[in-house]
Amino acid sequence: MSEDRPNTGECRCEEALEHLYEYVDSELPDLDLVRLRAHIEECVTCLQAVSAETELRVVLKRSCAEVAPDALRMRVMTQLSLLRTTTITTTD
Amino acid sequence: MTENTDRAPEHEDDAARDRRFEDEAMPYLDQLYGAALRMTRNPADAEDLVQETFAKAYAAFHQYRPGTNLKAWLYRILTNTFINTYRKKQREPLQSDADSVEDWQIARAASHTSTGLRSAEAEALDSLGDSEIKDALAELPEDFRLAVYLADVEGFAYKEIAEIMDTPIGTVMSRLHRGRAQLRKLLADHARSLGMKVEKV
Repeated sequence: MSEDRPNTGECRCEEALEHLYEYVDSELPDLDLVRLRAHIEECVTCLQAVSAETELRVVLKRSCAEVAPDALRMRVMTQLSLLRTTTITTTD
Repeated sequence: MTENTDRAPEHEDDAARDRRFEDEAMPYLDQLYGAALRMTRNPADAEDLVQETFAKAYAAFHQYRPGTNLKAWLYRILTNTFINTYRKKQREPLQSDADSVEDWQIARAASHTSTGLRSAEAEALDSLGDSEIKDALAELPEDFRLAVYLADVEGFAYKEIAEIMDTPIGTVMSRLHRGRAQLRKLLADHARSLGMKVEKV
């Protein structure tokens, strides 16, 4: 396990892991970000937690990538041209 | 005196706006279909949902301000359409009202040591197939699933997710925390059972 530093105002595992999602989501205020990053870069446990989170997102993105069926593309395009015709006739 | 004002979007003619809609919105078809599949969990409903979304987006496109986030705007229409049309149809109970932000903050503080996936489990993720990952996502309650999808797959910021789901940021964070925790548990269970199978061979 990582060594938690004495209470000198530095970020420790407890805090870093509590705000792990905000850290990975890039949603932390700058000051906190700097403090958390300083800890995480030095701590194997926290670094592993961050890379596990990052890895999961890569896997999720890969798994969820979809290509719309051609039939759907056709349906949408056809619908748009129908809507367009309707709009033009009503504005005339 | 002729004034050339038709470049400004508020003065552009219908044909130009139609062209702009096609050029800018159509490239999101695949992504919106992917999101619709995760929402409805079946291809037929996903296709209907996407078609309806494009019809509504086209009709409201004059309200969209060029230069703002078109992707978030389209996802908001998609999400609204899904909630109004398909949530009723699928009759899934609402999860969101049960999870108060305070409860989640207490849960987060108490569970900080078990938040992350252990590295062995993270490695085992690679051995899970796309369909197993999608099945796990499909098992999440709807609001959690949607928040996790918007953040982890689409990369929207909390603020954007709050606008898309029409909910406060605290609720977004709560849904993300709970949804991710559940998803990790499901995936870890899968990975562990897969790991056991591999060991036996």
